[in-house]
Amino acid sequence: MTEETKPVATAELIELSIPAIPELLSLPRLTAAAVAAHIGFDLEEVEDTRLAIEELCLAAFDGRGPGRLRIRLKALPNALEVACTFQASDGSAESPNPRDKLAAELTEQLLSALVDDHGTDVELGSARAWFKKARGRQDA
Amino acid sequence: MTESNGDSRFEREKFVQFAATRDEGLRDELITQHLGLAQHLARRFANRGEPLDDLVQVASIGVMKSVDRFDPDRGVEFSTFAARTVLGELKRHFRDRGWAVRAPRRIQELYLEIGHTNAELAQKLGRAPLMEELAEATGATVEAVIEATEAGSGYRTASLDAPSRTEGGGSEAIGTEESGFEDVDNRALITPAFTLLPEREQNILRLRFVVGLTQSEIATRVGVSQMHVSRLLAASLRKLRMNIEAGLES
Repeated sequence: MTEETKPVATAELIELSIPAIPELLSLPRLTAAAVAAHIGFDLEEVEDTRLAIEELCLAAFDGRGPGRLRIRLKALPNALEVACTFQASDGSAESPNPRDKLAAELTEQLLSALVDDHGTDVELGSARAWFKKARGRQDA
Repeated sequence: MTESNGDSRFEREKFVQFAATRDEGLRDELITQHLGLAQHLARRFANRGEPLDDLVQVASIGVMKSVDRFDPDRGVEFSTFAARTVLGELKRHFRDRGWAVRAPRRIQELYLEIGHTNAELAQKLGRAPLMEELAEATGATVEAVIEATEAGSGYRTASLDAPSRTEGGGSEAIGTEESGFEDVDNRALITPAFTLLPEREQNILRLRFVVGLTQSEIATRVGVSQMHVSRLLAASLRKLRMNIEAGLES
């Protein structure tokens, strides 16, 4: 952590629910950038966060039908946690089209470079992709 | 029978064969044969505010989709079918980019100012500046800095050839291939979907996602600003995803 940065006092939770279409990804990008700036990320970390959340969202609805993305951003004192869940319009939890293997590999590679930790799990029957990015990694 | 009729029949036979076998080698051959059409049609859309490189890329994907979807039994020439598909891709590209060029002038000016200030602050502080510091130095709010960096970022498919205030574009600087990637086991960054990108964009993606350099380190290495690197990464990733979506993974 740099001397100039001020830690966020308490964890804050922001939730977004948007139609799963690429044209609306500017909303989670902007939100993530705002939260990251609030935590005290530098410009480069904010830019990496934008790339990461876009990748997370694209990965969440890739190959699926119409639905919504539920995005949760948790601002911790020194880190940002983001989780993304796809909710199909027809209520189905499983993707009808498994993700293209190469696209999945690309997601893995990008998130590995952009954030500190990431993964997938199941939340209330729906697949959830998440990442955690701490600030000041370069200072460590 | 004329020579052109012979060529046409030969080409049709290839498409019939591809329709029956979906042979990847034959697919590549058909795509390569018709990339000239992509360049020809892309040039028709030049001088409309989008770099020709990007247009050729979009048009090439149109050719690939055409090869995949063409049905030789319908009695339509491939060139006719492909031209329609490619033009559709190009028009969609312009429609999708429309919002980006309408960013308010104040936002465009702030973005340029942030780029300038970012470089100065990074040198002065010895680290990347915080958003708050950028806001203070430019006299803007943090929200405005966030908005400007989003509007000016590569999500609008910025090109390496786009001029910036701090450097003359970057194509020349980033054009050289970095060495040392040979041992990297990373399928996503060695496939046709990746190699179809301009070499300079492949290079910058490798530096970030394979070598693991930060944006600032890449900026120093290739002689452009960190914000320019950020813009290029976003734009190149979008193109890479588009290529993967077009089925160029094998």
